[in-house]
Amino acid sequence: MKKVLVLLLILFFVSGCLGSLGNTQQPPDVAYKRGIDINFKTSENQPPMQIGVNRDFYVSFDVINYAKYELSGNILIYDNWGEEYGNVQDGTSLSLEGESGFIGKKQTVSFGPFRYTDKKLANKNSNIIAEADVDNYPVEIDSSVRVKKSGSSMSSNLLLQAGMLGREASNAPITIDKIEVNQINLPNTNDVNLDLIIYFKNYGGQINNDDKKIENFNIDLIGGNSFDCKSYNEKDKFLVFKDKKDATIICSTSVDLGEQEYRDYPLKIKFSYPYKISKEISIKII
Amino acid sequence: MIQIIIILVSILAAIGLTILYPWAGLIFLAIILVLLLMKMAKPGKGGNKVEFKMKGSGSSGKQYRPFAVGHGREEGRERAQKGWLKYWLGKSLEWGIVIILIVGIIYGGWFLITTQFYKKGTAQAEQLGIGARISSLWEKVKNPEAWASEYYSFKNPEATEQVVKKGITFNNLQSVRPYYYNKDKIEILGDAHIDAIEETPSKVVFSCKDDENNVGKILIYGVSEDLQEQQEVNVNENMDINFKCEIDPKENSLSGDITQTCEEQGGVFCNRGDISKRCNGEWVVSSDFDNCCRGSCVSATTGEKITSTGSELSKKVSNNEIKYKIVYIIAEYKDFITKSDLEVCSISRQELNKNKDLYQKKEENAQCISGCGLTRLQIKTSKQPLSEDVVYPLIIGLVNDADWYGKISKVNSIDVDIPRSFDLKGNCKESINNQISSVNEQINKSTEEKPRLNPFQCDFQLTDVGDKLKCSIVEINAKYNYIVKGSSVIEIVNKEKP
Repeated sequence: MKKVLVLLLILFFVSGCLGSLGNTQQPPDVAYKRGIDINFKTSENQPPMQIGVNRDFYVSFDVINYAKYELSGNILIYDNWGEEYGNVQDGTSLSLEGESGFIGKKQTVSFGPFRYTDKKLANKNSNIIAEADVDNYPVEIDSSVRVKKSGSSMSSNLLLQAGMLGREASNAPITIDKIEVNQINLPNTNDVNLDLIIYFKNYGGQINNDDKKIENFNIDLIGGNSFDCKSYNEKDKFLVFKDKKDATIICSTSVDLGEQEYRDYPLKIKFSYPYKISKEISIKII
Repeated sequence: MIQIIIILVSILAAIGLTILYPWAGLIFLAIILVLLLMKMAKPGKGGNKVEFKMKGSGSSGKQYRPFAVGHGREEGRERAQKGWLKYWLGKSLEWGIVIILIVGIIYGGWFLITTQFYKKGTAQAEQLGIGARISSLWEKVKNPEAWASEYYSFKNPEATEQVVKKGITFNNLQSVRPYYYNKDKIEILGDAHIDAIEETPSKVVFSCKDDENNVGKILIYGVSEDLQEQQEVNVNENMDINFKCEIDPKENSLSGDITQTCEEQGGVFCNRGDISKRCNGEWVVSSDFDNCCRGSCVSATTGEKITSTGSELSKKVSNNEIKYKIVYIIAEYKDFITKSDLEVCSISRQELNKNKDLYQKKEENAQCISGCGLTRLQIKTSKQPLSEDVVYPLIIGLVNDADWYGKISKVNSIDVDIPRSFDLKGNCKESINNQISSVNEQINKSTEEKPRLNPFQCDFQLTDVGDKLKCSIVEINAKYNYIVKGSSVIEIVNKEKP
């Protein structure tokens, strides 16, 4: 009996170890900084964590672009108080250089002076929000799909994980997380039907249009026919992220392998979206 | 050997189930563990002894029989020992566990087969989230509190206002003499501690009277040398005072017509010597008895109307030599101001429709700004954020604190200070003034110790609502009188001083 109990305990802990093993096999998403980031300069007291009524203060922050493309748009700053209290409200246009490394291109933005003028705000908090709106966040993914003549009608699966889709896929805030490739060899022909199940994921921020929709999506298999794409689940709208963090589509095409046993097809995917990210900081009015 | 296989398969099934539905799996695992422990711990008892023997252990003991509880005569003996109900409950429990075990094995097995995770390799397993689930399970084993936050909708504790109670407490109220004759001057001594409300200097008026509405004069020591009959004390800091209350019945004469009976004067009998009763009106003199109350006689504790016949009670009291009288020491805050505010946030309907999550972000409790401690001044409106196309109520509640000593004796004014974007509907000020009159009437009529006052209400609509969430402050000032009473019961010998 004791042996059974020992075995049971070992199994229980092995299950935990398997879990951590599974974890290490996941693409190291956390290693990538994505999209745009905003960091308030609180170390320079901009904004200060406490501010008195009728005292001037400034708000500064770094806007960091992790994309390799130059991004343009607007930066806004506002708080949760109405104008009658002497609120924080300002904005300017934004032009961020792209960068080819992993550190990101930084631009420091400063606003102020601001001043809260109404004593009613004493002992209240002010939530200051910095918001970066980018007109067009582009994502281009270059990958390849190997299509094989298997000689049977069985489908085979190939998974392109985020790490295999290039740095752009890993850096974009709303991006392709993985692609599952299913191929079906039609009997007695050289034609292969190809289904690409493409999993999109929002890692932060939001698409800055009403439907939260990726509107410019293009997928091309160089040397193959054009793709026909639709939502994976019929009830979902195509590439709409409203109220959810992910979207899945399925793109289908067919290729003619001819006499070749296999062929590597370059896969090019391009899409872009207006993008918005905001950061909030709370300061105490005294 | 079969039993070991069954147990191992059950454990594997439990682990599979745990990956898919951690709670169900763990419960299942727990059942297996309990079952095993029960089997291990079950004491030998004659023919019913159940032992778990590994094959080849060399022991001559009995072979393991799952869930064997006895057969034939043994079973009957056990049933007799345990009692019919207990026996069958035990049986049901055992078979219930067996059924759960079987269902678990089937369900776990089904999971393993349908997901084909053993066929599709690590990539497919990863896609199914197996690794992540096991990892998540391990994380939860390491951080057990994560279970609670995930499986129960943990509500944030309601942010209720923590107000330190302030005010006046009376201590050591005592009569100067052990008893008094009729028409003697009554003298009561006592002391009071006043907790000042720092940011709200206030004026407190002290007075005293007895339960027959004979008003006394109060002398206060420890504040100023000038003693007045009705003392006003300016309270700016915590203080302790001593006082003396003198009530001279000769200086207080009851109204009423001595030639008319109590009933003819619209009065009822109400025994003034009985501290459990109270005249909800005024005492008057009458031709038939002393204890005539013009109004209604109510129970001092429940406020219930008392309809005892006067003649019987009158005789009873008149035969008594001793009657009791209550002397009240009254401290009344005059024109005390409590100020509270409420953050009201708004956003355009268009943006609100886009983002329903905004509804959960706003805390909606009023905050006491000054004059906090005697009462609660509540301000409420609809669920926030508000928008431009609805008329919203602004509800103001001035609430007696149930567990504090005093109560609101009169509401003098309620001032509403609203932001620019608020458009008050109708004449709010006039409406509130009318409501104040009604509330004061409620205070005067109420027989409750601390009546729950009707709230004040105005309606408003928002103008100038933008696409960003913006907040404004609604500030309310309530000016009211607040009364704190202390009492002492004295004995009166029911005759004139010899």
